[in-house]
Amino acid sequence: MSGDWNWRSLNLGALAAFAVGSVGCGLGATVDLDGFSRAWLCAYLFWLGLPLCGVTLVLVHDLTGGNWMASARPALNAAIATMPLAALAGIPAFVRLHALYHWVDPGRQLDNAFYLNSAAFYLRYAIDVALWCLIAAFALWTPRGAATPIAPARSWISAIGLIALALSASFASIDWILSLEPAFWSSIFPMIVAAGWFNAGLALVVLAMAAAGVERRHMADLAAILLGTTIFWAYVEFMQFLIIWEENLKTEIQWYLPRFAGIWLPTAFVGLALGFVVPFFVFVTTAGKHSRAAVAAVCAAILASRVADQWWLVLPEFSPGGPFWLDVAAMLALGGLMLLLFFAGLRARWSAAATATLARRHG
Amino acid sequence: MTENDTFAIIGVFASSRAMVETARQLRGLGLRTIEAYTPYPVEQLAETLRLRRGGPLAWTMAAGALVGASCGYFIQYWDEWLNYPLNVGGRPHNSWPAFTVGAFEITLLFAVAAGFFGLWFACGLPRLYDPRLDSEAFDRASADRFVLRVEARTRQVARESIRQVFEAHGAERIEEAAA
Repeated sequence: MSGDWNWRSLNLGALAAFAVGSVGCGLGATVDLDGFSRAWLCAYLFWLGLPLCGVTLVLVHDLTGGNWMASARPALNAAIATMPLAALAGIPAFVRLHALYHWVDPGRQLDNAFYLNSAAFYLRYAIDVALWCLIAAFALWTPRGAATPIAPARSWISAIGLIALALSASFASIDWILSLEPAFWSSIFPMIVAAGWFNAGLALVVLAMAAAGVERRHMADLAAILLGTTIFWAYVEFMQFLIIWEENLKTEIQWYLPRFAGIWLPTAFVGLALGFVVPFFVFVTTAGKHSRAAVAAVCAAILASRVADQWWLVLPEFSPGGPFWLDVAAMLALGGLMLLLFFAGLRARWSAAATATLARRHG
Repeated sequence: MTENDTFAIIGVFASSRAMVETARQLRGLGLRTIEAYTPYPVEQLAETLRLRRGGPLAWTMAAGALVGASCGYFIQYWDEWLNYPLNVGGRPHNSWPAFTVGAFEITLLFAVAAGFFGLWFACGLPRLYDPRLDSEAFDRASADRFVLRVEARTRQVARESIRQVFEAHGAERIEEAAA
């Protein structure tokens, strides 16, 4: 099924994105170093979704099963294999914490300084990276069949892995995004960010699967999962907004004020339309879930929504912001690298799967 | 008996497989009015009988949802802006984010109600008695037997050939009835 893909031009495209993005980042960093840190944080948060979605879905499948995994396993494993790069890609942003977070400033007497300080931040980051790479290794290298989950005797590890994943992703989302506004607190926030990561990763995986022409009913199953998680994302995102907007409290509304000012208000609506409305009305129909073109188009829309939403979460915090081309450049630079790795993994795993199928048929 | 007369034949089967096979063959004869009565949902039956997925019921529910969304939104808008404008926490009178929740609830209520009563209607439910079910052939259709009821016109196909199809698939009981 991977035979239709022109790997050479895909790799060249990813390489070009990386090259153009890197030049842009280099230029941007000399012009506006703080702007580069912020742009890179957005790119990091967006691309991290790919391996996080991969491990989540594989571990969930360990507990639930499902035939769709027969088609999804190669693509999900390729996504998981990007974990070391994706997890460590935060370093260029985090080396200059004071460009990102107000709480680094020692002049601010915060009640939660025992949690929000540079040393604790780096420690948590290191734990996240180590834990996620460990879970990725478990998801990738412990024996599983194409569609069969891990052996039942070991499925408890998957359960614990999921709990660890949920907790670490919560801490990460609070550290990296919520703490941009150090006095703001929202208990639903980690779920918003985690759902965003999952949707971004799954949209990319399903886009690859739809373009490669995997079995239709498996693709439809994954589209149904994506339908559920986009609804979940819209629900938690809207609930947080609704409560804060109704209460209009000084400690909370300051999260939304910059995010609904100027260009950021239309950005929020674009994110909602492409990340929820379009996927909902296409995936809710049986025909929409089964059409490769429709699924690919909706996944592309979700990815666009995720990029917009990532920028919307981080960038309004800084005014005046850096140049927009720098944000795009960072997205492309890290994206090119991530896609090169993802494509290499897809190619190897799809050709291995095709060989195994041939061997079964003729052997 | 003219050739436009319609007649019905009922066949009772012990296995769902035999019933589905019979239905498939009857459709092959060009018969379209085939009804199946089974104690539980049988796979492939919907496919064989070409029952449409969704169909009018899905559209009824979609229409119910649309009406519900409009009504649910309007009653809040009317109350908060037209009927009794009240300043709540400095929010605008047309507070669409807050109205969305109520409108959504009413949307669900109307959609589900449309589906519920639509299903009644589709099942012919207000009518509690159907003379077609007088036959003893239906007695075990809700327990352990699978029943097919075929309607046809005399000019279309001979009664005998339908009977033969039923017999070929091992029908336990074959009955003729008025259509």
